[in-house]
Amino acid sequence: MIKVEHISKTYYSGRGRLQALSDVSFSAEAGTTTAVIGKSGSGKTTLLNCIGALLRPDNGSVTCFGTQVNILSSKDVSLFQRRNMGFIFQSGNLLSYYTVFDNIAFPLILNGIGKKERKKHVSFLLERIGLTGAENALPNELSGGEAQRVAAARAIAHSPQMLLADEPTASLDSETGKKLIVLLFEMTKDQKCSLVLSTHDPELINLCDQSFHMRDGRLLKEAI
Amino acid sequence: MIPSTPYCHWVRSAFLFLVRSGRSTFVLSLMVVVAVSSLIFLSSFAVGVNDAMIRNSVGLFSGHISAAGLPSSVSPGDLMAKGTKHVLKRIEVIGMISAGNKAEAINMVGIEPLSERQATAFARKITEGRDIQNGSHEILLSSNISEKLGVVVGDSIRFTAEGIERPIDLKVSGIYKTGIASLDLGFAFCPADSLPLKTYAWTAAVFLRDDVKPEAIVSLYKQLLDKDYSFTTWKESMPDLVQLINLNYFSMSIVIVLVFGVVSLGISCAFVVFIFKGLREYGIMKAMGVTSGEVSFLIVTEVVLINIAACLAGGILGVAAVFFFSKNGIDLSYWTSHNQYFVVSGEIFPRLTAYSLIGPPAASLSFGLISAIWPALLIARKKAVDILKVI
Repeated sequence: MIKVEHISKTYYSGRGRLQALSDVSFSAEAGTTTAVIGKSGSGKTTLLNCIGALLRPDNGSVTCFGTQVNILSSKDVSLFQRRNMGFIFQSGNLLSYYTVFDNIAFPLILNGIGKKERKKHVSFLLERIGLTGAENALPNELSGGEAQRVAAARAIAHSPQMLLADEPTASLDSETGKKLIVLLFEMTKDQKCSLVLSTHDPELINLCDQSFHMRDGRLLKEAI
Repeated sequence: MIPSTPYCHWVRSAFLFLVRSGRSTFVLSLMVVVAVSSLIFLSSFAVGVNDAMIRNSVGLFSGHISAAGLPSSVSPGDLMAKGTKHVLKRIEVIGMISAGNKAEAINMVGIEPLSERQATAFARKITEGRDIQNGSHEILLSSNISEKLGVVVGDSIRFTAEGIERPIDLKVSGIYKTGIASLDLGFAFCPADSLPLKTYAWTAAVFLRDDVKPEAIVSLYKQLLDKDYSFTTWKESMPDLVQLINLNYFSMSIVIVLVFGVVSLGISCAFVVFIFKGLREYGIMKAMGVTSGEVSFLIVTEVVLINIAACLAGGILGVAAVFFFSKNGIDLSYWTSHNQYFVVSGEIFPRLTAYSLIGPPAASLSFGLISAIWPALLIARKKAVDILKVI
């Protein structure tokens, strides 16, 4: 279960004080899909980053599967992330000097999965995302859609308990974006993994178990 | 319990990063290669300059080690040891040389002309006539003494001394000029077998290889010979040269440190740029759960790998240049012809020493690692989200 309780986050910059999150609370059961919908600057990315322990909220707590991640040390956060979380960013963010195979295998290496098992699992995932034969390609040789599919496979490769996807279709055309979303939902369902994704796309509400609207750092309403 | 990621994975990752950052890696490597090879050559050249000064100073006449008062029971063969090239036997007799009504006090040196020609460069300093021959009754005079006596090549002079059985007549075969006062003012040379001596003590001039320390040979002689004879190394007989060499090493060290400093600053800046080029990758890795320690290890491994590869290439290039010029020499006669420490030859033969070979790569690696500390710490301390936000 993911439990976010009363978290707030304020940024200070040359533009002054910016309240990115303001007393945000919600929870998501294990294996469910959650969409956070809102305009740019509404605080979606900050919320996902707080859930994924990439950011520490100023107040409140974030508990993921029994671990309060916002109080973990830097090293423990890293170890928690590598074991329990998968991230998909807006624009792939594949490791540019790794091949497709190496990118997908990376979280498996971090989790100490042996070479043989790694190879088998990556081959399975490549087949799953329809990129069999592209294992030796470098990220710059892939199209945007292919890169995001590889990013999805990499995020799910180590069977994390939670997948965080920050506007994964933002850099794709609508058709490719839809295909990626379908793939993401299928993969998270197969792995019984909780998915939290942020998006501009209201159509995604119907696909998710729950969704939240965000505006100016606040959760406005919940739709089921 | 999460297992720590094997080191070999980070080494492989660092290798891939370098290989796939082809152009940046090449440019950075080239800087290190040029710096390392230049500095290896420069420091070897400095050693070669010092070698040349020693070789010139001892190679004209005195040898690296001299010994006086050796009895006839000790032979030059007894002084041949590992590292010695030649041992010359000389018999010195103080006497008078006269021509007509003119006479000069002289230190007559009886030599074995053929061996002298093989070991010393003295014959090159003959300005008129030719060198003396084995078995002849000939004399080699300095231009200074020949002027004082008013003799020229082909004239005869008479030599008398207390230690010889009778006065001997010698024909002037050649006239020399070294530019070194001690040799030009008080010495004359004749074949040792032309001196009718009853008993004699001889002096030895021992010539060594460039890389052999004279002190080591002297200590060997002291072990081998039953009596404690007096051996003098060139360092003891030429303190001015020792000082000059030390000064040369000191100046060259300053130059090398300055060059290292400037080059290293360039290398350091290039490393910083190179590391920050991979900022995005490190941010993604951190977001995936790579610890700060692992990121730091990866960065340091990249720096070490690129340094090892570039230092190897630079080392090979530097050693090849040193090897080439050590065989062919670098002729600096134009700048050294009036210098007494280059009296025989102005050719420099760079010589590789352990310091020349290890110093530049070690400095490169050290400066590379130092330059990696700041970006490694910065990236390790920075949150993934901050890294990904700025790129």
